[in-house]
Amino acid sequence: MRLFYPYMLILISALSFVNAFTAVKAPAGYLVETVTIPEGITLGVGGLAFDQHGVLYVTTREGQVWRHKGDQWQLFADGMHEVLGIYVDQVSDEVWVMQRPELTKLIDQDGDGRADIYRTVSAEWGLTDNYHEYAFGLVRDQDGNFYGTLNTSLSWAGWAGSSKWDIGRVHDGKMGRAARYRGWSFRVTPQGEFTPWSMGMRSPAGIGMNRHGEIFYTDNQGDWNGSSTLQQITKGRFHGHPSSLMDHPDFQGKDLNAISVEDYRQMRTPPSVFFIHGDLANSPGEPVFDETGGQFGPFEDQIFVGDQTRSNLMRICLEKVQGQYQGAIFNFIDGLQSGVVRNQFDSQGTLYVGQTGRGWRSAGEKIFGLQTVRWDHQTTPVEILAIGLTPEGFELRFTQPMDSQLLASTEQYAIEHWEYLYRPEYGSPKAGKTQAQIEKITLSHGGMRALLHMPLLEGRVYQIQLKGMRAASGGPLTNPMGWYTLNKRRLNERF
Amino acid sequence: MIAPMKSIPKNTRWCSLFLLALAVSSLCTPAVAQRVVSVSTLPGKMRFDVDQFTLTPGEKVRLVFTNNDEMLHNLVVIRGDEATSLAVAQRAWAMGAAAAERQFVPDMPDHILHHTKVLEPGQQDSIDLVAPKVEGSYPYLCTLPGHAFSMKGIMLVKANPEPDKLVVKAVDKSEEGSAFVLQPHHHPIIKRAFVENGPPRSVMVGFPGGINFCFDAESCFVSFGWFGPFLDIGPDWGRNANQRGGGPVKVLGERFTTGAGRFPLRIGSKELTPQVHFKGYQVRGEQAPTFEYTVNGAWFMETIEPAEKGIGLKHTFKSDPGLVAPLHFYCDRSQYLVEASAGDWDGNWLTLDPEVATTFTLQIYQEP
Repeated sequence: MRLFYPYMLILISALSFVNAFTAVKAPAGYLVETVTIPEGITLGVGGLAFDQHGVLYVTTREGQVWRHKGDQWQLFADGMHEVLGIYVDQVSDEVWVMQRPELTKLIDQDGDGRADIYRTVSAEWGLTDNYHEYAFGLVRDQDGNFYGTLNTSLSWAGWAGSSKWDIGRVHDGKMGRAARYRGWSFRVTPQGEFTPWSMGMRSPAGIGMNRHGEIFYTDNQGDWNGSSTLQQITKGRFHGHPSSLMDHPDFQGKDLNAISVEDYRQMRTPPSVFFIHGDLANSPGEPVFDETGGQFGPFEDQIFVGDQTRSNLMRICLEKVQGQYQGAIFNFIDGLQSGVVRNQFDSQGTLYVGQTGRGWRSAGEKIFGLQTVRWDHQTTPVEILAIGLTPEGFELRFTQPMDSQLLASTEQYAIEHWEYLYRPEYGSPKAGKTQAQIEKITLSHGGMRALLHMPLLEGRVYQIQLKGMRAASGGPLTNPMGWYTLNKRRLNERF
Repeated sequence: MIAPMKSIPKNTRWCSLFLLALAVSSLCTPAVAQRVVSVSTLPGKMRFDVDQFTLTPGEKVRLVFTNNDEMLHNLVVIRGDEATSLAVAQRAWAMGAAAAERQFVPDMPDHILHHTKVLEPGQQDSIDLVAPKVEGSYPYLCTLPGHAFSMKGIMLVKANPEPDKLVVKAVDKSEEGSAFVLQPHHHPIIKRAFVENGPPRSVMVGFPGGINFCFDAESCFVSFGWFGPFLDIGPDWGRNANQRGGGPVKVLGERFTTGAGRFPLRIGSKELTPQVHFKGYQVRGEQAPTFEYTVNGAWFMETIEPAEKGIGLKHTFKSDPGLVAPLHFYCDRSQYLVEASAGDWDGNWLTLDPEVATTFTLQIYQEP
């Protein structure tokens, strides 16, 4: 969920998206279907989770929780304040949700299919009536701890709910801190103990955890965020948006405006992956890991994430370089019916895509909805599987053998790179855009890999475009572009 | 919770039987050429479909009321003004269990001129009436709980009515704005959202009788109450692609204050402000919600519902059985009428010994 600055831009960009994507464009073998939502249900999706019986729980911006299976819809809980996340225990069927004011356990004590106890687990974070103070969730680690993220407060006159709140801002960034722990991620133990976990978030609209218990979140472009990002959450990490430091014990009583932008840059951990604002995503949502054991095609362990403005799905591959995650992002499916904010796989490896377009003029014809993406278990899509680093340059891996003549030709590649500026202003241009030259191409694995020998610069985002590339079997790449966020070069380990 | 989601039950068989009965009964009575005035509802809008109809003094008419809505309604014609109209409604809502068998018509013979039965969806009733001899405006309303705020109209008695204004139809403007009215009909409903001039962590509770309140889920007391329809949740839900929602909902009735304006309970010492932590609430069908919180670590449950009389609330407390110190409850008795099931008053402080504090009830209300 995000904000645009110039109002005119909202109109212009929204219209152009609507015109650009009127039909679904998906890789071969992937089928998009729309779940029918009964008349009368408003399903502005805020959270998705499956229980062990295959029942899908859908939480909504309108404050409800629906249970869905087959063509059945059942209202499980109601009357809550904007539910933007859910966790369902796979053994006990217990349900927890993130509402704007609190983390709540929903209990159906009398077993009638409707929650009757709304048990407050934690409400330790500050909340004002500021429009932008979203609370997002929800993941849980193997020790039973929950993690969620808290949006900063919006300072623009007329948007903040009330003028009575003093919104602390740094270097005139537009988002700030009106109450405690705005801009933080948090951990809540099973006993309800709240610990602020990492800080420096702006608009952290989605959180996801992989099978190793590593937690990632997406942040939306704006002040201090040159473009939207995927970042790893670890305890104590500073993600870059400084107003949250007001709640850090080391900064009590300090003037955050006296700390330079450069000093903040040194403190922050750079994002793992930049989304490409405008080209790929304007407001990314929940990152979900493909841990389906191949049921969703060749992208095991990669991340799928949607965008609320452009109504598309993207794919991310990560690798660890010099101890930190970085990686590449690709478009995956365009032309979904509404803004994509939440994704979950069911046990058969079908990806459920939860959507809401209300208020941001998402691409697509629907204001809310639910769609599924299913792989046919046969067709190998023609895609760049991954981009990784070697000490020599980028290694491109493909889902199937490419035409080796095209693959070996430097003419087939267009590579440029730029920097997203870290600064308090809203967004960043693609600063210092530069063309890059490939020195040599080495093919391996029967045309499924190409090593692009070239000098690489740190702190840059590389756009790699494969203009006319085709598979050996003839088909073109469905998504012929990839963007690699190069924070660090690989010195000697292998990709 | 949301009325527009419900399908509209159509009791068509009952309806046709009724019409048959009506036809038979009309065969048995002498045919009198008289005007028929038909009134129904704007379905789902809590409105009559006629804002005003005009009769001449002493005119004999048949007033036919058709309930084409999804909930129970009646139509009561009264003598008086708008304030009288509301007073009649309030008396009707206060009738409790007797209301149903008396068609939600209170015992106010000076004011009530005519009334239909309480009609289920699809039913129809008619009244043969003679217009008053005195010219003037005679309000009509539905006296079911909460309905009178919007289900009202005027029977105008006038010697020389304008022929083109004999019946003024209601115009539905509710779709033009962003209003999205949430109204309890059969059981209490809960909505958490930002609310105008309310605490950020709010739990709003509405009751079919038109008494509603906002519980502050951070400080654990009733922030305010209001009397009338429940909420316009349009600003929270948003009604179209351009509205982001998330805005403060609108209280639709008239606000009233209740209690201390701060957390009213003290354990042991009246002077020490306790640490309170909200622990959630329970909701069960038609019962009033029960809020739970801890006070200095001791667990409390508080069920809040409309007071049995007046405008106010009834609070039923269950406290931690392990409580050893006396409990003190503050309420400004110069401002409110208070009835306590236990304890002793000292000025504005009610003190309850631990053995009686495990369960006690307080009603805090004002005269209407």
